[in-house]
Amino acid sequence: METEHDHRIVGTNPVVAIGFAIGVAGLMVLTTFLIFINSNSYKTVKQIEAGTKVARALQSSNSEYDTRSPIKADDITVYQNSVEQRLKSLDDANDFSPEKVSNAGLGLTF
Amino acid sequence: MMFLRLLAITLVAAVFLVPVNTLAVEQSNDSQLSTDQRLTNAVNDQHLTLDDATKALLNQKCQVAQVNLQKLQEKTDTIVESRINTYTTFQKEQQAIKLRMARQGVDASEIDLLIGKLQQGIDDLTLTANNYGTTLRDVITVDCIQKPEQFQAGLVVLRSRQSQLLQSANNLKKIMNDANTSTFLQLKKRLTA
Repeated sequence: METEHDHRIVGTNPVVAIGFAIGVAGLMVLTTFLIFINSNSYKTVKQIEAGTKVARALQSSNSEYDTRSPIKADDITVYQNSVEQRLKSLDDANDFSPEKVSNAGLGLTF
Repeated sequence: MMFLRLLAITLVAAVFLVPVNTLAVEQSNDSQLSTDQRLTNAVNDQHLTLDDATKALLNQKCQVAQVNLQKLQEKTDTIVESRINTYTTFQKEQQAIKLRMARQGVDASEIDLLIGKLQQGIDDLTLTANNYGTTLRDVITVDCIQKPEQFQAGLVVLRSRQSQLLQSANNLKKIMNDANTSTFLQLKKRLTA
């Protein structure tokens, strides 16, 4: 009964039909937008955006690094090794160890 | 009627889809409060009551702990600063690589993504370190003999923030380690092609 009633309204009044179609389209756009906002793609877009912004800022203050000479795949390998060595020297587990603020670490024991 | 139903369904779906952090302004009011207010809030949030033995222990040793925390503060400040410098240097080096590749006409747009990921990690580490520093200062400056509950509640918050700091630092390292198998591999392929 109710469906018939809806059908009659939509079918007989073009203004209502167009309004209904616009409303549905709006809701679909809204839903798609919300799905995108929550997706990894949006996260990546934000990261690229941040990267581009920082890269632009770095461009003017990058005089201490070689930005002109030709580069080969081997140079990337050398850079990777250098990064690896520097990362190895960062001992996060020790530097930010929760033990440092434990009762024992702070001398709060009997 | 059908339209209303559709609207209701979409609104319900929207409530589930929109994360709180999309709508909320990520701003902590903690920094605007005084040490006493922050620690009193911590005591209330934790529903903290101390037994006599703990009170006696804190009375006896909390000042020593505060001296240790003071040393920890100086050390952590230096470490965080050094971390931020290291990862900023990585960003600069990667930017230089990108420019060198661009001069050869080779695309290195992945580097923008990597620099962006690093920037988010650096921002997160900075924010976490600021919150950590605030709590650390609170715990160091509170009169721990007169207010042992506040001291203890501050320590609980501090421990949680110490874990966040470790997580944040690990995340930064992971970004660089992952870049080995994603970003740099792609760049090398393109340079050898």
